[in-house]
Amino acid sequence: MKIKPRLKEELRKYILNKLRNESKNATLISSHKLTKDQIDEIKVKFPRLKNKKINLQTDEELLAGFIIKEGSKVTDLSLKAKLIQFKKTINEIT
Amino acid sequence: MKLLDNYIKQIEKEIDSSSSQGETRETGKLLELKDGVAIVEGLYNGFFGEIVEFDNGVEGFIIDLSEDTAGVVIFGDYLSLKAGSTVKGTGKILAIDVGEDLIGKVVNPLSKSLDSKETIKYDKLYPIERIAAGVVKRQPVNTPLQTGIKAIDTIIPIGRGQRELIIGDRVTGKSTIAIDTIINQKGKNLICIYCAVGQKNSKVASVIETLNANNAMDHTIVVSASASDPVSLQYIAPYSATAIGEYFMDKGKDVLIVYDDLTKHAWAYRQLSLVLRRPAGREAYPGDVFYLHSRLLERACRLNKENGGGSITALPIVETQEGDISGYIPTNVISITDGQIFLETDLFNSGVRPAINVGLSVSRVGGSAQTKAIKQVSGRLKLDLAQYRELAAFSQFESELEEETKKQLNRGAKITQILIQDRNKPLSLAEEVCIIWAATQGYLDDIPTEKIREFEEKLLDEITTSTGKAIVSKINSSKELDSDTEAKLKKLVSNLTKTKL
Repeated sequence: MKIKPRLKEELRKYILNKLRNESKNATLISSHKLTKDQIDEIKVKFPRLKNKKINLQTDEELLAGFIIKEGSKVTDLSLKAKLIQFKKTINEIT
Repeated sequence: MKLLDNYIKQIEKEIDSSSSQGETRETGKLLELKDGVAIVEGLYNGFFGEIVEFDNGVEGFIIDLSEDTAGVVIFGDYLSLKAGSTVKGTGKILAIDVGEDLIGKVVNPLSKSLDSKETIKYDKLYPIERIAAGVVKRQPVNTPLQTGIKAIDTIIPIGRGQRELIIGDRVTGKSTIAIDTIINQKGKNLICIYCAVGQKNSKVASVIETLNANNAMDHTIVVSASASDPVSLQYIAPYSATAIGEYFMDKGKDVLIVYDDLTKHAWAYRQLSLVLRRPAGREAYPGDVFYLHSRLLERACRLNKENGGGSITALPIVETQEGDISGYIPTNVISITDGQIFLETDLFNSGVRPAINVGLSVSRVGGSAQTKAIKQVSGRLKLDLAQYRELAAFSQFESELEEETKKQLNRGAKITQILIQDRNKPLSLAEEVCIIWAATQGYLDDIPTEKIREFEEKLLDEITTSTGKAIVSKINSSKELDSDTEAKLKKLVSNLTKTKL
């Protein structure tokens, strides 16, 4: 598929703009709904989240804890991840 | 109960040591899954060669980075992966565990034990890809690597730190030469690594058996990525074998690596590249197939004293189709290496084994590493053989030959016979010297051609078990043939020829 150069330029600008906006967003996935105080507490621990628009999501499968997603960077602090890690450690030692 | 307690203690220790305190990791989403290669979206800050982890625990490494996707080569079972699953970057470059304990083991390219006899104790982490030692760190090849094969040690000598290609059609005894060389290194202070790439499992098994039967596993490591292993493992196998070699080289030791064979390695890389949609060139190989092998073989070197003085000798094997050495991969590897040993089907079938074509085989640097004893006898040998080849082709048309020509033809035929050698029976330096000396001095000229092998056996018997013992130990220790020893040898050989007649 060939894209016209002018169109390509426009597309690029649009995508770059979108990416820039994305870097201002962050997603916070938690096992249960978080209260405002809890979110503030997380923001104190992770200062880089302060100026970002936070998108809240819940996922019961995490069991406990939360995951912060910023673009392709992920900080996983959920119990689920810990348990998977634990399972791996047990399997490795034989 | 004690076992269980130990087990739990070990797990506790492991968990304490691993700091899983909320690190931020680069992630992506699996977009496409092709044969052994995954296309991943995301991983925006991933780097080339980074190890990534799929959510089912399978690992892979980044081999291709484009604007918004990354190509990941998967180690292990990729059939259980699903599109849309997450991929985590580990921030680590592809490296394998190495250690002294690897010697005598059979491992896969990730240096995990394949024979599960016992767990391997590792010492260090070595990157699979490393830039070869530069010019200032190197020195010329100066120590011989005795293969124990008469034809190679005398005509195409190999030095420690050299790269000598073994090339030939299928079933011409390429691997046998390499295996014999490994067998001959017993007690010679050389660590051997046999790297099987894309070989049949049965063949690798028989190689290991041969090595075991000849007590050669005590100084050997086998790195195997067989034909049934994922292409990714076949691709990295030579590099990880070299990484293991570099570990020992950095300790100041001498290492020999056999790559069996690089044709299959090039095929594995071709498959990866085609799946990744890289532009295909000649014979559908990607454009960087030369660099693929040059960066690998450049890592073979002899370090100078200030850098530990270790060495890596490389014996790559390349398979040709119907004796065509002008193929793409053969010409590439020929130009990278410091010489080649060319094996021919016709010679092999006519009983000349090892089937070395002496005319096309060369060693560009090994000559300077030859021991004095071999040098003394091999100079004449090369000349005799060269004259013989010239005359042999010419004399087929000529019915009447001069006396001198007949003599040279006779000598050549005898020397060709003397260079024949059984497999898995490498000879010591002194044995080689004595036999070649007898041949070049003309003691064999009067023995009928079919009786040459018999005479050789007798001579070997004589010098290893009875009267000649002194000669052998003298040559093996001083590594030269002085006039005194030569006189003794002369007496022994002429006595032997007399009893024969």
